[in-house]
Amino acid sequence: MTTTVCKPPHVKFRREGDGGLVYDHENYGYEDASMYEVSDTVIDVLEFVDGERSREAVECEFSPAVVETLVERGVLADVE
Amino acid sequence: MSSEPLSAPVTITWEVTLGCNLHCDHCLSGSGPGHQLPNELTTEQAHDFIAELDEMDVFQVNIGGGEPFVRSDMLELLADLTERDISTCVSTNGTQLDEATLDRIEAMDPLFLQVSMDGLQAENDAIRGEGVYEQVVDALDRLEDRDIGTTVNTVVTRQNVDDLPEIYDLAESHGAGLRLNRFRPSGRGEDTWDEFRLTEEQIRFLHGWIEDHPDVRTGDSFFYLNALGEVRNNTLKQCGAGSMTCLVDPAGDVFPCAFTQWDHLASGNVVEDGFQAAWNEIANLRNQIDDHEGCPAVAMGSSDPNGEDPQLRAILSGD
Repeated sequence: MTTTVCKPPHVKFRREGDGGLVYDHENYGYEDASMYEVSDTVIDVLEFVDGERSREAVECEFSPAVVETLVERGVLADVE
Repeated sequence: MSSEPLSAPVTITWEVTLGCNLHCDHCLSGSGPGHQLPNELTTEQAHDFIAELDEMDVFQVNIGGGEPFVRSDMLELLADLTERDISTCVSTNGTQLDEATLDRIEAMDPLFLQVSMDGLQAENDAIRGEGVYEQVVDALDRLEDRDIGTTVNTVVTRQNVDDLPEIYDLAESHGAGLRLNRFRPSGRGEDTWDEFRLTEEQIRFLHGWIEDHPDVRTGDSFFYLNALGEVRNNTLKQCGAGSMTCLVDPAGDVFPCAFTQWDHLASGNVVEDGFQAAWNEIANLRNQIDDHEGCPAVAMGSSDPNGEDPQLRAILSGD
């Protein structure tokens, strides 16, 4: 069975001059969201996923370890 | 953070009007009935500004005022923001939330509300006006019924700090979180600073109480320490004014934050200069902001002779 990963709707990102930013407002509201400085690779992954893509394709383009780490951190999610 | 300025703010606060149906004694922006500026952004200018925010990838917009819902186009602007998937938080006094407004808000996502409550009935109404407390509790009832994400927002003052446990219980009973904001010498707060600011004993009580209530939101550099002066939340230590966030006033002028709206800290105007240009310029103003520990706006606004945040220094040194 093909599994798919997606960027959860509460996660936002953008590229900066050096790496990028990931913003997670799952915890709700006003300055209480979480924001992380991330590497270019994380931004590359999120752009590649472009909403939703097969996990196999993302792992092939980057690595299974990168995908697993981003899923563990909630930046990506498995699509049910 | 990287030393290189961000291409855009992470969040902004946008005060959409100085008009308000209330006239609170501590209002940070000095808003009130009939206080609308003649040059507040028109609906068309506001939409253009929102489009630029979207283009710049600003993640979150915090709407304030004045009372945002006295603008007749507020729901239209909120719809524009949320349809662009910009996280939107609206700070409201809670008195303008009729059923038709809630019908529209309920359908918007991602959108959150903050409803102001500055004490239990006596203390709240003394600051915000007679009968306001009951209107806010009624609004909380109806927001809970609709399951609209809401936080009760309290500016902590000398008069209401003892009410915090009961405000916390009230918010919790409505399924709402509690957020505390620090009272600052800004707007009418400059005039009431000595009347409303916390005593040293109250500051210590407040920090101890927060320590016992980790679910209470603060989001303010004042609260990065606990009552003993120990670091409780290092992520709150850095002031993001002009580096991660900024303030856009009703006329479109850009400042480092809501509490530093002084002419010498204005970096441009979103209509005349464009927001990107104003943001690029703001990095040059950052070095004019007091960079001691704590809140620069409090240090600068209270004219503290040591150029520090005097209330934070009280925590750190006990003086």
